[in-house]
Amino acid sequence: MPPKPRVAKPKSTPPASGPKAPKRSHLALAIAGAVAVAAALIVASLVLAGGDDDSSGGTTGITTPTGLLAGIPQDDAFLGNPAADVTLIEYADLQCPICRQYSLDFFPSLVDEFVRPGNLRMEFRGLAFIGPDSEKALKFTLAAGLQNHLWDFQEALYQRQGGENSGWVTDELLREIGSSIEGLDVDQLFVDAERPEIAAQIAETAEQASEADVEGTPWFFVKIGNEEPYHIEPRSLDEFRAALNDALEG
Amino acid sequence: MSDRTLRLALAVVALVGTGLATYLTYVHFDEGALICTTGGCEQVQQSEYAELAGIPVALLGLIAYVVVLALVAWDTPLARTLTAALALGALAFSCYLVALQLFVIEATCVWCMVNDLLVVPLLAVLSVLRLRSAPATA
Repeated sequence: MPPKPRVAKPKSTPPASGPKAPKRSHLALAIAGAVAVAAALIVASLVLAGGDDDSSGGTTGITTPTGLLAGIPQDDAFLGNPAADVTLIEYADLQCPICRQYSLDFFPSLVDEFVRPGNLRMEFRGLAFIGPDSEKALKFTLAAGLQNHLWDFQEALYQRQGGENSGWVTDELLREIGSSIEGLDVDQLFVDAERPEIAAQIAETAEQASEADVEGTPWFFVKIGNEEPYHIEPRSLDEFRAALNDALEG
Repeated sequence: MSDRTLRLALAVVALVGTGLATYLTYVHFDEGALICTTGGCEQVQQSEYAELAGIPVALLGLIAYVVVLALVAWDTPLARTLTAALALGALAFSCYLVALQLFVIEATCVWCMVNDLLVVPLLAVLSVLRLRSAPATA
């Protein structure tokens, strides 16, 4: 704290000459700079976060999910050859942006290179820790699994992913996605999503994740045959390939 | 408090902030390394607000702390003004980030909260005190 003389001067005194004037002008300058810095950052954050919503959650057409997965067997939460010795288990939250990134950047290549030839099976384990939109999206995705279209549904959802808990998982969106999947009974989907078995499955997976020390999403395990699954943490497509090739080579 | 003490305190707080921001930047890219006691760290780290134009907010914080350290070392009247401007700007942005965590993301990251509610405010107070107590060298 500076020493004495400050009390004497009333606030309204104009800052004329004297030792305090430069300090005040420096402080005013600092505050002006601060306002500019903060305003720029906050506006940029709001605009860019909103911009992401538009690009990911907009109404641009969805690619037909069955295109990528056409001809690959789907059985409830599993994708791929049931006889495959290696399974890639993915814990994911359908609102998680990194899960979406994985789905768009890595998943198609992994499907083409490992799942389609029948060497790898994938298992989806859905979590809903981000919020209400996660839970609604997950209920419908699991319900799509009852009709063996879980993977089609989740891929389409990722393509339409919106801002976290912004209410983007609307009935209209779910109906639109459901209708785009050949062979999926949309009315049945809406009935199944509310079944207590689905809620129980969500709770059970959350428990499983907790026991398996899942720390975030997407979180991957590799399971070889009946062995205990082990965690992998690939950060690139090449690291995924290496991890899966290691597993396939036993 | 003497100017020398304030300068030292600023440097220490900026160093603590640098450590925090380095850790948060690291875990932005490697979430497995995230130690979290509030349960919401991943959610905050994965939220759409965790990056600004593709740059992690934690990295922006790290850059700001390094700049503050450089300004403290430089130590001219202009440097003091710039330090206060940066610290006050960071304080306002921290308030915004806290509001985002509480009301938009609805999850809190303990490391971010320590930075936003403790380190940055301390930096702002110290930099303003230093600006006010500095010898007048117009």
